[in-house]
Amino acid sequence: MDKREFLKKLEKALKKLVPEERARYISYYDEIIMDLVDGGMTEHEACAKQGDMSRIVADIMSQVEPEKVEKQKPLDIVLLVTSLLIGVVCIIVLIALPDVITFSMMNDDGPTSVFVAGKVVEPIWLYIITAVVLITSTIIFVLRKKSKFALATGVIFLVCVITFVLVRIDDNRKNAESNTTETVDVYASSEVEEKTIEIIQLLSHNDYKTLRDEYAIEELKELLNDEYMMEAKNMISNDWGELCDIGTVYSAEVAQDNVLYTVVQANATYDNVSIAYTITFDDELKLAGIYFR
Amino acid sequence: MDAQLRKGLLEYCVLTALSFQDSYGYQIIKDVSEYIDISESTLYPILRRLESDDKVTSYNTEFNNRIRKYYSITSVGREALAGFQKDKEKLIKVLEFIGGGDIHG
Repeated sequence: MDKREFLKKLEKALKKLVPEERARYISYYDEIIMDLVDGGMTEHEACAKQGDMSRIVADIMSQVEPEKVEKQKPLDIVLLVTSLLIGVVCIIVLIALPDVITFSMMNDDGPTSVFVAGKVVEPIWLYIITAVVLITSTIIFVLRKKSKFALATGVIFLVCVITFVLVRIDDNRKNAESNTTETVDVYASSEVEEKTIEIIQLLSHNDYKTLRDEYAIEELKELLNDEYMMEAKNMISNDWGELCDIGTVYSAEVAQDNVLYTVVQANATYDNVSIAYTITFDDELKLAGIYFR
Repeated sequence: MDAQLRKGLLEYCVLTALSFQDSYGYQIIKDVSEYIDISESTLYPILRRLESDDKVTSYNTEFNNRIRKYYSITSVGREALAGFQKDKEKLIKVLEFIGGGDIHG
């Protein structure tokens, strides 16, 4: 080890000292080594004479005044904790966020809501904020030579990115799978719209028998009995009035348990109430769920 | 020598070396190490402490195209050394007492 290497190592080992104090030790050892060299030693010998670096540092640190030791700035800690926390939250969200959520509320009171499926909106803002916070804090730590902190935030950022990419790949794979089902293009949107309007009309006229016999899947038939449905409707209002208008029908395709569902949203106005329908069709365009509020 | 004891004495050794003439790190080590173990890593913290206690001052001079830091004893430093002289008798008594201990049991 020559003088330059020795001093570099020393500087690194004395990181905990305030910069001025650290510089004093560096120039002290610089001078001592040069004096030893002038006394006839080689740089290597002079450095070797100083002994083990860890002992040198232990000697210095045991003698140094407490105010010469650099305190960990609370801001750094706050920045580190915040970065790590938001990073972990982002990773959890990325992993835990399902591409489809479903919830059935089939209670004894009747099928006020039978089946709902929907695509959860991706928290783009969370991703952006996480990326900005992690990149910024990493840069700050690098500039302030807090290499361990920088490493921590950097690694978390990398894990976030990798998770994001992996989840994306997984999503695409799933989508690709569901897209290969034959049913995707079979039902044109107009057919869905037509069926939706028919169902809403049948519901409005309390013709549940037709709904059961001609539209619903097996599992829904049981729930679509007159008694339950009347009860569910009465929960909103005892008298809806006549159906006046059905608004624009929006539809989306949702894959769940390898079955492709079409979820339709439509608003219907009656004399006395306005109802938002969410109607789900299965891949054979059978009625799989009705939800209204 | 016991580390604690040595630590207490080193400060006075350095002051003594500086009481004859201004000196620099390497020279102080050479002078002092004839009497007591001292290494580069123990000397500098002592110099720093003496400096912050105003017992020594330092100045830079150029030597062989590089900076050499010289240390100079102050009046406060000389007083400290004089104070130690006064304690010397007490210290010798203590040393004699310890030396007369029954080490064979």
